[in-house]
Amino acid sequence: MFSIPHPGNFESLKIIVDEINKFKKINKKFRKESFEVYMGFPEFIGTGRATLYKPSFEDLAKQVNYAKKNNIRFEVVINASCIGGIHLTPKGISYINWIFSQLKNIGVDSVALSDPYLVDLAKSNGLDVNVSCIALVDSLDKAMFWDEKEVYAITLDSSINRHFDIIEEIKENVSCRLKILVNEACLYKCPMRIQHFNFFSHANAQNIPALDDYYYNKCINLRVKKKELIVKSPFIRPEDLKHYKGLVDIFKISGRSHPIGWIKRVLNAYLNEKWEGNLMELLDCPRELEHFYYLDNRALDGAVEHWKSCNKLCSKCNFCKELAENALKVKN
Amino acid sequence: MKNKILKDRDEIEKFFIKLLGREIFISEMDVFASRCGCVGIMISVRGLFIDDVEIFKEKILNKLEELAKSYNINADWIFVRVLPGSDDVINIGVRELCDVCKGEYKFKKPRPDLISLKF
Ligand SMILES: [Zn+2]
Repeated sequence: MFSIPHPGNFESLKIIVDEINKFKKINKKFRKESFEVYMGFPEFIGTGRATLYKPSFEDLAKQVNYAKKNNIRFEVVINASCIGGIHLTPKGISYINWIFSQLKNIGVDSVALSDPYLVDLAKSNGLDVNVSCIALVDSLDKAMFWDEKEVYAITLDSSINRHFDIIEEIKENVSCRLKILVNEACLYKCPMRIQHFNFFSHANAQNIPALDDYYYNKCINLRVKKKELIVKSPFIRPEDLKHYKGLVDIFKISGRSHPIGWIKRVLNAYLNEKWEGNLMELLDCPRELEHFYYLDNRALDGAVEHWKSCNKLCSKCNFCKELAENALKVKN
Repeated sequence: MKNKILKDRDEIEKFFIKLLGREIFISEMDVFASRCGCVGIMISVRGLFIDDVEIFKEKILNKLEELAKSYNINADWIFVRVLPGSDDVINIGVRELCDVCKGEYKFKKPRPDLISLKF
């Protein structure tokens, strides 16, 4: 299954649905493929990314109907990494319960959440839950914790995207589906990940007049200083999806805060499992560098074979550093 | 005007790359007018650090003054903006200050994240 970022407005959903239908028409292989869209729902709880559109329940209901008519699952993302404690107050609990019951009535297929308490509330409202990547599930122990809550799916922490041994171990021991982010290109084991998500969670929900996104700017500068960080970031190339089939069930494309034309381009590349040219053009977060770097997708052919058996002891390896020297060029 | 801004962004990027001998990116260059009456140029830079600016301060100032002049902007105040508590430079600004802002910004460090190179 493919999980597709949806910016949130009906026009964008129609474009995504048209695109999927086009694929199903021209290629037999996609007739059996299933699809879902996911969109942010930034009520007071916030989400882990910038959300550009706040739908009303009425608007949401129309969109869910439309997606269902087209055989597409509809997921709503409420995955703030920090809720500031209000979810455990009597007022907070009844408000969140009310939101969940509305989502259930509307017919939303699942909710992406990162807080175990919210997962319990959603389940008790009859909703299916996808554990968000923001829950940072990077080990079997964490995966078992969520699996015991009988969730619909777990989205793995992208930091283990190239740790095939860990993914295998999780796959063998849980009964829920596994989802993997294919084109998120955050820093490998980013030391600022949780702080950045916390910042987003509050900035989204409370309109904080922040002076600066410190983490974003720092992230960009780190990659200009050490360009191998771009190659080390745990994206999965369209051509390499086949290495994950059987291990994970859902390929999630990241990028719901990008324009619809970008989403179409990335969706096409991953459905075709093929991309020619600058791989930076498919990577979400941070997109800013796509204008400065050319990451030759062909030069990365076969690298996945190394990553499959790599023990990630980088100081003794240098594979990614040498690969970056070859594959990554500064654009003129 | 459009072509001039495009050319100037490219040129200022090349200037920094040549000056420092490594990659420096200028992701955006804006020429702006504020409600208060200030006019200026704002440059978003990636890969530049305070040390670089201090070592090459004179050359950088000359280049920015020349750039401002080409837009008929008086370079009253030239500054860099850093990420709080770090030495990462993320913006370079050249500004012809209005009377109100003159009183507010003409200091060596008018705000913890701003360092004046010329004031
Ligand atoms: Zn002013």
